[in-house]
Amino acid sequence: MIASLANPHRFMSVSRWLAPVLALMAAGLIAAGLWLGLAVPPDYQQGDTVKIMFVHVPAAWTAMSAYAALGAASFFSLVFRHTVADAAAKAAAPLGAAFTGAALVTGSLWGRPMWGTWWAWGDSRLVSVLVLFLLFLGYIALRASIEDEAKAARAAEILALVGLVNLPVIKFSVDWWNTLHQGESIFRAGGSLIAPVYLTPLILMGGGYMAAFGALWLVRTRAEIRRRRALALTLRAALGG
Amino acid sequence: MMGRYAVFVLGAYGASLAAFAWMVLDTLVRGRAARRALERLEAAESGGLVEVERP
Repeated sequence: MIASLANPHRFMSVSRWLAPVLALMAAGLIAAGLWLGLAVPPDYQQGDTVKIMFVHVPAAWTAMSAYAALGAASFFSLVFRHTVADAAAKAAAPLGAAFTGAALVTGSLWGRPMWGTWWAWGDSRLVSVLVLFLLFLGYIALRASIEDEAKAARAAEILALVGLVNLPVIKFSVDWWNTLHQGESIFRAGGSLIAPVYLTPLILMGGGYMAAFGALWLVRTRAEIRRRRALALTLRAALGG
Repeated sequence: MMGRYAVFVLGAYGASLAAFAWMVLDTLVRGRAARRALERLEAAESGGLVEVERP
């Protein structure tokens, strides 16, 4: 399926209907998640700040998924020279940066009342997510700084692939080091530690955020493919005239 | 309603809304601009009326 989507015409055909479907899914899931999440009872320890979980955790999940998507697209572009993959990689970066920024800001707003601090440089989870944010920004800056688009793409793809090592660091940071950040409490052997009243809206919001990323990613990739097509037509006109 | 935590909760939801608003608006603007630019160029090419600025 991935090989078939490497064809720009096939990708444009599939994404034309898939993007609106994902957008509708996102809207429905987020609406349901907010409806349930804003009505949850206060946590016995965290009070109403537990409601921040419904925007912080999905943002963090989506940020990591966006980087995984960036890395996968970069791999297919670098190894198989799929132009659609390169367009997809370029399209994913700003979205990933936005989700990561949202995760950092909402996490800080959660940490201040709970931990008594906006930020902790000694916390491995916080620092590794900050590194993720800087990787997205670095990718965008690297692509923009090199005039030759092909060279820019290759350099950025290598950066993206190297940065993949940060994903398991983020995931396992709460296990490997002593941190302020809460340990794994959702996807763990033995089942989730979170009560269903909180888990249900969390899963709905997580699904909604992922669907939103998918929809936006497809639209941005379509725009990038059109931009490259327009550039090719302009060059052809300039040479053929 | 949320007492002393209201500013943190509302701040978090406000920041999330701002991030989504930027993503959606920027994506739609880029998508529309790219589609219109390509349509103009394809129309010009099919009509044989391509205007290119020459040095």
